[in-house]
Amino acid sequence: MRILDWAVFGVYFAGVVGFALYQSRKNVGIEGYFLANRRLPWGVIGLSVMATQASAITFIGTTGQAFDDGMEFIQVYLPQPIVMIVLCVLFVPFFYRARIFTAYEYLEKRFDLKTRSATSCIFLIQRGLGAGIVLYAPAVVLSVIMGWDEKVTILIMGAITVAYATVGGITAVIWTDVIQMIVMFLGIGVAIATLFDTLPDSVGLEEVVYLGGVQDMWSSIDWSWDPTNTYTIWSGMIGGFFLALAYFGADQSQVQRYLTAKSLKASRLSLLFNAFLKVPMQFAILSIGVLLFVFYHFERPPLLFNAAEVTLAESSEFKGDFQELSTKQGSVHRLRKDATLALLEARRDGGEVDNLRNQIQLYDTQLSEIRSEASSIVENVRGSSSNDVNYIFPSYLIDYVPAGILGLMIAVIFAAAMSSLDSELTALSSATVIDLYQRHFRPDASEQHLLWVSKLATLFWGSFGCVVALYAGQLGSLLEAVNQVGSFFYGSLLGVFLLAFLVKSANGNGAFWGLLAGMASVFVVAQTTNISWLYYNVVGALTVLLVGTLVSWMSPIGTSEALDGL
Amino acid sequence: MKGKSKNRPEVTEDTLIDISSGWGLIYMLVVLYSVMLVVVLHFLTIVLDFSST
Repeated sequence: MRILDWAVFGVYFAGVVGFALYQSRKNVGIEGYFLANRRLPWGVIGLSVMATQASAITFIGTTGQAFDDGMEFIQVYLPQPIVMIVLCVLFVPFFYRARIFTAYEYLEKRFDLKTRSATSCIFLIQRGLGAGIVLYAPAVVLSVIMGWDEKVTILIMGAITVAYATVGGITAVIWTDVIQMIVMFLGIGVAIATLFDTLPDSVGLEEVVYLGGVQDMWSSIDWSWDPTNTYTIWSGMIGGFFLALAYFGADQSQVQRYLTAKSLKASRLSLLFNAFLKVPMQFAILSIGVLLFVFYHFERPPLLFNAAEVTLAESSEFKGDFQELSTKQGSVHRLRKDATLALLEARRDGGEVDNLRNQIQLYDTQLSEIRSEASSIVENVRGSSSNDVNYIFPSYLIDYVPAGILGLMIAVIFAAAMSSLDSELTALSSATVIDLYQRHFRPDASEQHLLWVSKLATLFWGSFGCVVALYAGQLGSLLEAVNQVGSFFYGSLLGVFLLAFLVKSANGNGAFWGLLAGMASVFVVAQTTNISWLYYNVVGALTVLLVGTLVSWMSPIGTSEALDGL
Repeated sequence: MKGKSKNRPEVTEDTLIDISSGWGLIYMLVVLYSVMLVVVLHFLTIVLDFSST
C-alpha cells in the first residue's frame, strides 16, 4: 500500500473508534448496554441490520462467485422483502410486547426454561464459532494478497472491534455499523467506477453488458425444478425464504438490532428499509464480479488468483506442468482478447458476429479448464481443495487500482468484517448474561454487577473469536464441518419460533422435542440426499412444527390463559 | 404529561399490529416490489443473453 492508501485506511479506523467512544457515553445500565435504552431511530437500525448481514465474504467471496458463475446467486436474496413483511406482522409485535432482551427469553415466557436454554446454547455455539470465521476469512485473504501477517491482521481487527464493543455496548456497535455501511456503499460505487476506468477506452457500459451476455453472465433467474441445483428461483424463494426468516427472526445478532427501536413502528420501518435496499445492493456487488470477468478479457488474469497457491505449485514436483499450463493460458488469453476486440468492432460495423462469439465461448471454456487443471495441481500438492474464488477481487485491487482507492477498498473489507463481528459480540454477550448467567445463577444481581459481567462476556467472546480465528488454519475441515452443522440448527431454531407464534396449543415439551427432531431430520436429509443446502432450513422448520404440534397434543401441560399477549 | 406518555404507546402499538391498517398498504407495496424484482431480473436474463443467435 502507498502512503495515500494508509492515510485513507487510517482515517477509517480513527473515525470508527472515535465515533464509537463518542456514542458509548450514552450507555446507562444493562438496558442501555444491550438495547440502547430502546430509543434508536429506524434509519440507524436499518443500516446496522444491513451492515451486520454484510460480512467481508460478501465482498470478496460473492464477487468471485459472480466472476465464475454470473448473477445467479441473487436468487437467494429475492425473498428478503417478503421475509421482512412476515417479521413485521408476526415476529416483531410478539418480541416487542414481551419487552425482552433476547429472542430466546421470549421462548421461556411462551414455553419453558429448557426450550429457552437449549435455543440460547445452540445460538452461542454457532455464533461463537462464527465470530472466529468472520475474523479468519478476510485475514487469510489479506495476508496472501497484501503480504500482511495473518495473525497480526486477526489481532488488530479483533482487538479494535472487541474494544469498542466491550466499552460502548450496542450503542457504539450500531452507530459504528452506520459508518461502516456508508463506507461499504461508497466502496461499491468506487469499485464499479474504477473497473470501468481500467477498461480499454473503447469499452463502455454497452460493451460490458454485451460481453457479459456473450457468456450469459447476466442470467439471474433459473426456473429449473431440479432440487439438487443449488441456485434456482425455487431454492431461492423457498429455501432462501426460510434461511432469511431464521437469520432475521431467530438469530439474536439481528433480533437485538430491532429490539433497540424506540417504538414498534421504528422496528418495522428498520426492516422495511432493508426490504427495499438489500437486493439492489447485492445486485451491485455481484455486478462487480461480472465486470471483473469482462475486465480480464483485456488484461491477462493470473493462472490462479491465490498467490500462495501459485507459489506452492511452482515449488512442487509439478512445477513443469504448472508452467506449461501458464504458457497455454497466456496463448489462449491472447486469442480471446483478439477475438473480443474483433467482435466489438464487427458489432459496431454491423458485421458477422456469430463466429467470433463462438470462438470467445470456446476460449472461455478452455481458460476455465486450464484454471481447473491448475487447481487440481494445488489440490494434489496440498492434499486439500483449492480456494481461488475469494482472491479474485482482492487480486484485482492490488494489481490495478490507483493510490487511495486501494486503502478505501481494504477499509471496506475491514468495515464489513468488523460490522458483523461487533454485532455478534453484543448478541453473544446478551445471550450469555441474560439467558444463562442471570437466569440460572444470579437472578437477584444488581444492575451494576450485570453491566460489569456483560462487559466481561463481550471481552470473553471477542477473545474466543480471536483464538478460533488464530487456529482456524489448522482446523481445516473442522471449520467446514462447523459451517455445515450451523445449517442443521438454523431451520430448527426458526421452527421453534414459528411453533410459538402459529400453534396456540403448542407447549414446552412439544417445542423441546420438536427442536431435537428438527435437527435430527436435517442431519438425515443431509446424509442421505444431495438436495441443495438451501432446503435444509425448510426441512428443519417444518419438522419442528409437525413434531412440536404432535408432542404438544399428546402431552398437554398448562393452560393457554397464561399465554395472553405472547 | 408523564401519565399521557405512559398510556398512549400501548394503544398506538397494538393498533399497529393490525395489517388492515396503514401498514397493509406498505406491505402491499413491498410485495409488488418483490414481484417486480423477479420480473425485471427474468427480463434481464432473457434480454441480456447474447450467448446464442
